[in-house]
Amino acid sequence: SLVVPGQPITSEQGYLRGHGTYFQDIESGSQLVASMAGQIERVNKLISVKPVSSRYLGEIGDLIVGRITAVESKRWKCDINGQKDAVLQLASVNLPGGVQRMRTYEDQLQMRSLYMEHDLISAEVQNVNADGTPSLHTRSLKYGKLENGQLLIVPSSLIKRLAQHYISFPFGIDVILGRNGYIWITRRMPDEWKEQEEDHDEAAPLAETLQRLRVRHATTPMLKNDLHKIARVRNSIDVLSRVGALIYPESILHVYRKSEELGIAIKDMLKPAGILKLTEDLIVQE
Amino acid sequence: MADISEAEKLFVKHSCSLGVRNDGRNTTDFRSIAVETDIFPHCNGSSRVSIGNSIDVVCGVKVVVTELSGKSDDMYINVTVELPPSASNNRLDEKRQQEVSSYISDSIKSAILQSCNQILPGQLDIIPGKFCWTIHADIQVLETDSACPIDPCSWAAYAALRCTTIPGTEVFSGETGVAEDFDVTGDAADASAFDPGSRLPICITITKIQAGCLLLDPSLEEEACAECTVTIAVCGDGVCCGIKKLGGAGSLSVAEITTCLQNAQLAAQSMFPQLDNICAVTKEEDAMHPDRPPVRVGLLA
Repeated sequence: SLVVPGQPITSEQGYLRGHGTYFQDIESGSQLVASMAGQIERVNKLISVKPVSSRYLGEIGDLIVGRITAVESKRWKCDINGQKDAVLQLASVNLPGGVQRMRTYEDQLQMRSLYMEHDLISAEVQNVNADGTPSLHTRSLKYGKLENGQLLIVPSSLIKRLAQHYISFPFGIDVILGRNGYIWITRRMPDEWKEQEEDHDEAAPLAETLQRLRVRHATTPMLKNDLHKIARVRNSIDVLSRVGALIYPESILHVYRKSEELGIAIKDMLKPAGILKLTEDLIVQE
Repeated sequence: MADISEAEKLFVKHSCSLGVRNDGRNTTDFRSIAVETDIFPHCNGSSRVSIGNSIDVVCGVKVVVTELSGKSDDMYINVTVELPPSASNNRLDEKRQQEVSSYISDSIKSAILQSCNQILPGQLDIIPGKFCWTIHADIQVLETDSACPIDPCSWAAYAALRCTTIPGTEVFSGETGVAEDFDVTGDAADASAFDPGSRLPICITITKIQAGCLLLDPSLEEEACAECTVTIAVCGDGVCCGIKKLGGAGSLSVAEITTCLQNAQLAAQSMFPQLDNICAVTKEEDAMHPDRPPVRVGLLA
């Protein structure tokens, strides 16, 4: 339920005041009043108001897509569409080949060989410091540099926490929904490649195999067919963000399938008429 | 210029070479453009141009009486462009923003003067040689994802000028019969439309990504991969009245320049009728409902 600033939420006693609320004295005691425009969130006795649109605030465990802005002495600074740039420590990244060891001075000097300025990475928020700066880590084989694909930026409030942020659509496109509003769209790695890697060297560690697959994905140019599908997915997500609908796999699929059914050309999806047709019967989950 | 990773640049260049842009457009397609005129009732003319979800430009035109003192045609029209840092995500420093603003305003002004210098005296002189109207076109970029949004600024200036009305004047002659003084009549019915005929130009910018990839209306990523950009001013009658190359270390072959000119002319030819129509349609709609204030989508959309 939506509230506006100044709107009383409840006069009952015993509730805890969360973010976006304050107590106001009235004749019969005190009431809880909203100070922000947004949705009420209630966890047992804690009531808070989540603002409708705000800069992305990092929450621990969020999967995000970020852009490296600076390479510093033992860490990278990363833009994640928030109030502050996030920090990615050298100790929090996987070294190439999956090697597990203490970071040496040589590693520090070769940070740019891992991530350079303006590179896109997928990472997870490990920690949020006292001043609000998120700390990231890429300590999983599925995180790392993003290549050979397209980035789309949408308002971060449209992406809620999902079970899976790495989405694989049935028509061969992979999408990473960063909770900060950065969305990465690329083609799915063909299954044959994984089989070929396994045939090639069964004893190789998983990290090495994935590294090789990643390099292969980055260096293999896309086919025109894949590019069309990527453009259509990109436009589907853009249509959802234009109407303020939540972005999650089912809604993206709905718009994508609808655009194919109605025979709307990819570039016409973003025209006002196209947006109307595609979102007419969109039912968005709460 | 936005900064994107090398991997993204490779992706853009590869898809451009296959003729597919990031949102499925062709190389000569614009994003969806919305133009409104007459949005500021206190200006003699005004307009707003928005492209897709990412560019928003407004233009207000004021005509001011100026005393001519033997100066050149520069007195007739003045264009200023404001491109504040808050308009874009690009972290350009203030000096660079200033450079871009002056580049855009100079280009638009010189394009208009180049093609309209024969017509302006007839439209804007009050007492030839003594007093004239000076058109001040002020363009404000509210939002942009382009480092140099010269196209939407020029379309906004065009649409605003097309619906500009100049107040009527009554000229008094002195004893010798020579016109000496004048009075501006306050009656709206006396105002005349500023009509520069088919000589008012718009600018079309072509971005070169690589050999064989000449794009109109580049997106953020495409602009970051640009080798060079060239801006071409085209008049309503299809004549190219100016060409300028802005930035980029790349070069264009003669054949590519010819292609750019042709693409710009084609794009302009499809834009002019629609831009001209907006003013007429707006006036018609206002005339149909004289008792209620004009409805504009305007800046609150």
